[in-house]
Amino acid sequence: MSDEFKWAIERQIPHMRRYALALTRDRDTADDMVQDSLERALRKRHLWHKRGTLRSWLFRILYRKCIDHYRRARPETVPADAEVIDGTLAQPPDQEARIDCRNVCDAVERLPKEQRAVVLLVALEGLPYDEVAEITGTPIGTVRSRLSRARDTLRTVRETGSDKERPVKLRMVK
Amino acid sequence: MTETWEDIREIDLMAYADGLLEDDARRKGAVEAYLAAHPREAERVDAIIRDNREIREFFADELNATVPTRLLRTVHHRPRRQLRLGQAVAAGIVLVSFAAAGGWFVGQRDDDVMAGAPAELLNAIAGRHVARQARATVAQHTSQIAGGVLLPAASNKVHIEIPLPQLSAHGFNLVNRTRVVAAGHGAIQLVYRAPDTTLNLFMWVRREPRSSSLSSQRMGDRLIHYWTAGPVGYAMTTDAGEEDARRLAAMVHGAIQQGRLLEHLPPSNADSAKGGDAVAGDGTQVGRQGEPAAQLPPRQFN
Repeated sequence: MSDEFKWAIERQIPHMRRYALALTRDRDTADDMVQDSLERALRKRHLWHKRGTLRSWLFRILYRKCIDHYRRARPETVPADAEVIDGTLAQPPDQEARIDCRNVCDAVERLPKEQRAVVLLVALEGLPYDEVAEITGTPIGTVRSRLSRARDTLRTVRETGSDKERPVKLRMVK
Repeated sequence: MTETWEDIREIDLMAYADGLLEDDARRKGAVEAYLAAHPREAERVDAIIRDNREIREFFADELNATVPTRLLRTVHHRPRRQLRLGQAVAAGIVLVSFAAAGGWFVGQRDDDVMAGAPAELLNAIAGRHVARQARATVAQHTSQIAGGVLLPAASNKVHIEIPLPQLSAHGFNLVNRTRVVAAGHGAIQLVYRAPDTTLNLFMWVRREPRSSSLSSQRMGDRLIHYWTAGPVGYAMTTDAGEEDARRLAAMVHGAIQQGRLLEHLPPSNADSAKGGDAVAGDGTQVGRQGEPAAQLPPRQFN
């Protein structure tokens, strides 16, 4: 394997860690998923035919790892609070702005996982919609609709402090 | 293509809020004109831009965080290859076969390997000693080579630069350098001359990395001193008496310098490597016509 390839992958690690942490809000779980993704990427490097960017390919692997993680984790695990993130980050000078940031991240946390994944790819990683579609394996129209619904929810949370528009899951009662 | 703000749709507002219109000034201008005329939409877009910014700020320090060693190790270490059952069985069979064949081979050649020089090679070398009186005859069949190539096929893979032993301090001058094939082994034959003694030194590449000390063996009426230094084997013959031969062998052995690997062959030697070689009538492979021995570069390349 060429050093250039490894070097290119290494450059993406901080972005992958950030995205995984934003998705899971758990440092160890995030690093585990990044490590699994890196191992898979190196093992399957022959499948990357340089169509699209290396970043898209790595994020696609990471995205699928995250989806698999959520599927296995039933019932849904309770994600770590923003305090977990705060504990690992340097204390910013503007506390009020920090609280706003935490609020919006908490709101993102409450989004359905598919919407959360799309919002974070766009807002956090700044990826264009077509690349997000490639990563998530969905049509670009689906990406846009998920993004739109997610933002409606975020706006509701901002305005009311709760996501009342979120549909309630029904349970079967015998 | 959106031309005016009347054509603006939700898609355009989202793309604008997500910063995806930076390369499309006309479309971006149309969206901004639309937002200027629609304050409620502008407020909604501002909220999206603010959300995006706050999300990035919340995780901003992550990009500068130290990457755990385990992740770096994952990238820079060769992943363990997982063999399927069939492949594993096949690999096992191959390994066992190689082990058996290798054991048989070592058993067959144990004496040669331990001695550091195959007996048939020493025997061939014994017959190739060039004495003073025979030099004219040798010169007729063999020519000096300029930076000869010992193993042309191997030269595509690796080159070993071996400094030629300098024996002038002991009264011996290099008078000839010839490529020979002895008992199937490609070798370089160096001929040194002193006023009353001739000394032949043979060098060949071997596959055994171990070095051995100076040994001697009599092949017919010729006494051969030989030793190995890593991947190069040496043998020396002389027309001096037995006692002097032993002293000369120790002298040459001490004058040998370690070879070193080269990634590329120097141009002058690379040219000689491409040159066609000839085979003399006695089976001796000789190089192209070259310069006088005194002008030969003091190095040898395989």
